[in-house]
Amino acid sequence: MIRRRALGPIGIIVVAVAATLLVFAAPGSTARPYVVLVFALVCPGMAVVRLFRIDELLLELAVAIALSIGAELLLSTAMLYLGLWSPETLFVALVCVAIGCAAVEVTRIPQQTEARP
Amino acid sequence: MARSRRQTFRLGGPRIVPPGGDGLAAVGVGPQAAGAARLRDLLTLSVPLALTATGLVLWMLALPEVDLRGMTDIGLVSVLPAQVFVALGLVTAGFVASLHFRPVAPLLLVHVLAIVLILFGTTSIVEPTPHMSATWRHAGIVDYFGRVHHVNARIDAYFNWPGFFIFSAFVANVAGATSTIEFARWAPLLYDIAFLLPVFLIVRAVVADRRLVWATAWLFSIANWVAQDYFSPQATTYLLYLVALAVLLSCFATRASTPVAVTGGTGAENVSARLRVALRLPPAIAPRGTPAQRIFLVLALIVVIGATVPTHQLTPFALLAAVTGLVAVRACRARGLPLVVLVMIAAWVVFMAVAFLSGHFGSVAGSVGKVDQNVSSSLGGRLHGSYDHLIVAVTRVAVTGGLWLLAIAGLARRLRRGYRDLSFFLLAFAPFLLIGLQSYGGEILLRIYLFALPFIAFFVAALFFATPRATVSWRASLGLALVSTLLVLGFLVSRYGNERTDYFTKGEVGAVAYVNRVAPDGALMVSLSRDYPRKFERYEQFRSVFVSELPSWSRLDGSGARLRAAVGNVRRAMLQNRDGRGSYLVVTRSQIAYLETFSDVQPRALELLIRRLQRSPQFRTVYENRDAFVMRLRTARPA
Repeated sequence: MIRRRALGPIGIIVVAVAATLLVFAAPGSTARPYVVLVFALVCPGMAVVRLFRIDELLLELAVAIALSIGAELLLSTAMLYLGLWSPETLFVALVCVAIGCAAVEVTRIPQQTEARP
Repeated sequence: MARSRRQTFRLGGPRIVPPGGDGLAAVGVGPQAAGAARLRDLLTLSVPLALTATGLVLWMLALPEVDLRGMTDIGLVSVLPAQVFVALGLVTAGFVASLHFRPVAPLLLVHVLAIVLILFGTTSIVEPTPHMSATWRHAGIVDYFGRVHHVNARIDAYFNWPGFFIFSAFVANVAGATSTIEFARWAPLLYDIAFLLPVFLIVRAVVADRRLVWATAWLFSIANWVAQDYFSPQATTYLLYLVALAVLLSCFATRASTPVAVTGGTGAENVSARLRVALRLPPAIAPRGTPAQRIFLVLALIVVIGATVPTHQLTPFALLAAVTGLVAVRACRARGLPLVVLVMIAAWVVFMAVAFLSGHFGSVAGSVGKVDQNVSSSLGGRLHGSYDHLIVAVTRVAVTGGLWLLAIAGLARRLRRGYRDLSFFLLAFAPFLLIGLQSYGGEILLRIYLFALPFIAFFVAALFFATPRATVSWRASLGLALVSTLLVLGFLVSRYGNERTDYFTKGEVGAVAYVNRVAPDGALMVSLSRDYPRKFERYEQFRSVFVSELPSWSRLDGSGARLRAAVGNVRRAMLQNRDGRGSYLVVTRSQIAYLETFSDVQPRALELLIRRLQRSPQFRTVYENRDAFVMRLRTARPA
């Protein structure tokens, strides 16, 4: 049975994988803009925020959205100014961060459960 | 065990349970009373919901009846069917009834989302294309970065603060979108829904009374008339501004939000004792969360605030004022943050925006410290135009001024009850420091209102719900209903007062798209005024001239001499570019509406001017539809 705490990181991984598939395997899909938008605006920030266990869903969501927008804005701007413009590279990096952080969170769940008396 | 040891940021104080709201009303009473309580529960839940649902249905049924072409200078309100007003009344009644009888969060959220949908979604649905000329230009800049991948800081000011456009180009590229225009159509609705989350968090960080929290979110939405939620850097940075403040107030507050004792020192003879009571502050609180959580949140704040720096000229300064104020009065634990923000702003201005500043130093530096000029350009500079437009302008002043007065009354009420909302007081007034910076194209007062709005809305809500109570008086509910009704009506006039010039038909977009398709690189687009869907493609390749803004333009009155002069102005403007060979005259419905609304030109005079242009042997029409036409000089060779 999937523990409730695991639903968050698994959801992030699912959206990240779906976005990656749509961008690279089905670029003409009508779902692509919507899935990519949800991924870009929420997932990278949410994956990082969840590692710090703020445990206040609305605050987590607000920070996740702002952090996703902020980080992507700064990184894309830096890439363009440095002459390294490559949206696909940045997208793949964000997917890696999101999946990586979500995976770390998933691996932490059983350890915490075992620690309980 | 690990979970119980961990500190969290869980917010909110003791919940105020409405009468019967927790479903326990029937405990310990007889079956008849229990049945009555259940019936009351059902009614208090379903009646407000039914009111809002009926309102939404009425609104949806009314939308096809909106005839945009019948709009007057008073804006969208002139063509809204009566059902829309009834719908707004029903949703308002539903919200106030919910707040009065059963302040349950999901139910209140439904009402707030319903009002946001009606107020901010109507134009996205009824108008054939995204409104506001700036929206189209912003889409054009995103298109530029998607094509060129290089910042040319000399094009215009946008290219010195290009963060939002580069970010949008990145997302559009990955999403496979060829243009951001379709997204821009829904941007106001999406942004205004997004604003609700941080506003909710901001208020909940300070008060636990859910009536006060939801009334603030409601008032924030219906008072947000300044139209800075279109596809723009301001809307995006405003969202970041709100989230940054929400994090600071939720996680880095230094004092509890409990009321202080207001007894003692009330005697008229003891002034110093009264002063001590007035300055009494709530007790200090321990830091929230673990050190790791706090370090992460500070880093997140630096990223979020840092993202506003290359994106918008004004928002970083608003954040600097807010953060500095909070730290200065020791209401915030993130004491190093003001310095970090200041360094980021200075670094960007000195190193990255130098191209803009070197060309505009006089105009930028000239406004600094000139408070009177900046205020008069924001206020007096806007009170002109046709009679209907003056009604719009006066309504805007009345809504803004009225809201400030109510907020001051709410603040006084909270103070009397012992609440020291120091952070909110400070954040409501900190944006006024921006007045000393610049006039921001005559919009500085609008932006100050925008930055202060969550806190103004809080104090207005506090006028009705100053202290948490299990029940609320009818007087408070009726007061909120009255203020909400006035604000909603004021919103429709203030927000959509320029809609006649702000909306664009497909014909108007088609005319510009034609020029985008056929014009050579470096072409000049000449138009009567600046209000049309321009530069949404090939942004850097075209120049624009607005004939009505040329020094030689004189007010049209329909006389032959003035009309001849106007035609001469158009011709001279077109000749500026390669003897007219690379010039296109684009005349659209919205340009004419703009001149009629803002420059007192009689519609008859404009009609005569257009007829004269179309009959003139000096011009030939190369594109025409019901709402727009494109002309070239006859002497000009085809491009």
